[in-house]
Amino acid sequence: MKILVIEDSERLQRSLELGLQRSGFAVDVVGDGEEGLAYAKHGGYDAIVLDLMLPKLSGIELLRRLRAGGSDAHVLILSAKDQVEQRIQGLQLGADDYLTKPFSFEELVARLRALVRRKYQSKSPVHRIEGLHIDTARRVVTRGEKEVALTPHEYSVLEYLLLRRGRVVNKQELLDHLYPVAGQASENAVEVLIHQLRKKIGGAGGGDPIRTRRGHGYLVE
Amino acid sequence: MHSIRRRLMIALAIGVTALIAGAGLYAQGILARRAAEQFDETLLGKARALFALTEEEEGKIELDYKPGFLPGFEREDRPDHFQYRLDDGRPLVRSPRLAPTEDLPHSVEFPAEPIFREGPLASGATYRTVQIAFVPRSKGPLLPDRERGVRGVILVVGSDRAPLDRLIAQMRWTILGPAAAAILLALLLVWRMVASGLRPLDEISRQVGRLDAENLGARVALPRAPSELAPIVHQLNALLTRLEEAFHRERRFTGNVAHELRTPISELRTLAEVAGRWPEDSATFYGDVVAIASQMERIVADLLLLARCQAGVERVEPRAAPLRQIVEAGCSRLRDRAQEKGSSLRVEVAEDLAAASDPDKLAIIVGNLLENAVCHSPSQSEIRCAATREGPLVRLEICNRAAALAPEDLARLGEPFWRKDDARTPLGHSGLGLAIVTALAKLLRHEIAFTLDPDGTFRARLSLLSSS
Repeated sequence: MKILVIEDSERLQRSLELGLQRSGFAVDVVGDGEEGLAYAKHGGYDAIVLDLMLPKLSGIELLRRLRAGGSDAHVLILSAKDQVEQRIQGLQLGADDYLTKPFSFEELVARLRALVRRKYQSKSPVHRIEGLHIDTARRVVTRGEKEVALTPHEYSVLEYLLLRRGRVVNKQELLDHLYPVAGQASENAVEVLIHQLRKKIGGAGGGDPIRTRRGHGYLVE
Repeated sequence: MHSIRRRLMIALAIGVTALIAGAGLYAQGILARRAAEQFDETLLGKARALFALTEEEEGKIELDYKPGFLPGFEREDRPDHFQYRLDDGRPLVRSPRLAPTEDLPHSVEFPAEPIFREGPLASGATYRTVQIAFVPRSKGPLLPDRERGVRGVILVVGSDRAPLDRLIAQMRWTILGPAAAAILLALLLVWRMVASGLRPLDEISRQVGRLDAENLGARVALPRAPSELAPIVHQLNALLTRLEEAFHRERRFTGNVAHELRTPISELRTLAEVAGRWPEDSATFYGDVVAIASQMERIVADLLLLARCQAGVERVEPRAAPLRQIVEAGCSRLRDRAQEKGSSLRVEVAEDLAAASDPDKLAIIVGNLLENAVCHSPSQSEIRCAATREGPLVRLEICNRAAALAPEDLARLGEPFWRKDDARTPLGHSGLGLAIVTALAKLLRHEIAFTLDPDGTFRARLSLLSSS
């Protein structure tokens, strides 16, 4: 899942970037409103973490322009402004969620995952397919009683294909959602990831839920 | 506690009662005296009538009185009486109804003016009498009295004064009765007028009573305030406005403090949570933790300094403050940061300039002003610090470009945590710099002024007394 963090505190940027990456998100981080708006418009993010007090362009104004431009990106406002009116204003302008600082990192991750599920219209965090049991809330994949050990990227590929169930996802789209803009990964990396994923899932003694549509991409039916 | 209403009521009640009662008593007194005079005139008229009927002929005194001539002397009930005496007091004749055992009060004297007396008769009735003395008219030739050998006569005429007393009593009740009613009416009127006159005060009191910390935006509204109360209402509303502003400042300040601390706490918590879960990747976070601690330490230190300055308890050690040295020290601390922005710091302060100040506190002021200038000026710009002597004063000016600043922002520059940009300023800024400058300048009795040139040049001017 690809997340954009728009936050001017460099220290918070660093910890959020590391924490979200380690939680399986592809993360882009920007430090001001203008740059944040440019990224948000063109980045194809699954969710945006938005601070309100930003230099150059406030978070509220950024959100207003984003919505005025027709963007339906899921936005979570992360702000030290904790007044009810401020939260209402943010939500009325089109934010999908509001979290006040200081916050629990675990809660932020849980809310982001809920936002992503909402984006792909998947209410349940649990999926069953080809004997696999995938809990997107706990990021745990099991077959029967046995847990399938996946790396964060492998898990992210599987989760994304599940969320896009029934639709072909090409390699570029997978790349976009797996790696930040600044990432250097190529389509080969996707192929390697899919290969490793299939190996681990198949190695667990069950069927492979991932179908390959040659020249088009991958699909989970 | 004094009550204006009670005092007014008591004073007005006493005044009105005294006025009406006094006027009534005075009128009653005048009328009673007039009635008594009238009574006396009537009595004297009767005496004169008798005098006219009294004649002398050949040494004999005759009273030409016929029954029915003066009926007052003959009536049964409380008749008038008269009594003639010779000038030596011997009785001559008396009215028919005057008992032989009774005498009207008299004196053996021959006054020119009539003498009025009062006294009870044997019947118990109080009679008012008039005594006149005269020489009876002569029926013979008009000779002098001595030659005629005629003696004088004393005539006393008396009338029961009961009718006069009744009249006076009647007049008293005729006047004092309505006066008492008038007093009651006047008191009622006074009560209504006092209540009506004090109603605006009651209204103000009611409205003020409803004010509390939750509705300080309310104002005392008295659309038809009397001219005496209009300035009070105006001043009260002005006071409420100042109070509301102070409350808002206080709340804003508290909110800002919480906000300023919430940001580093938030950073610290996230750093700790992430570092706790992925410790192998978080070695660099320790530097951030130290920076956060330093930032919070500075916020707290600045807040304490600000609070001490505002409370006037920050210790001041006045002595000569070498301006050049202080400015150079401030600049050297900021030169690297200015160079990072491609900006420069220019100092135009003479070596020998010194101000009567507290050098340590002045260094904080100058340091904060310079830091503010470096932080908020655009890149590639010049920050100028100059000092000039003007008479007994030294004026220190720090100016820099501040394109984002508007003239209306100047009044808020000294407000704690006020920022033109809603976003955080670069690291290390607590948002208290200019608030501390303002508070310290006040504490040191220096004058600080912030101005903005039309071309966007911001000037902070500090006026100090020269130490020389």
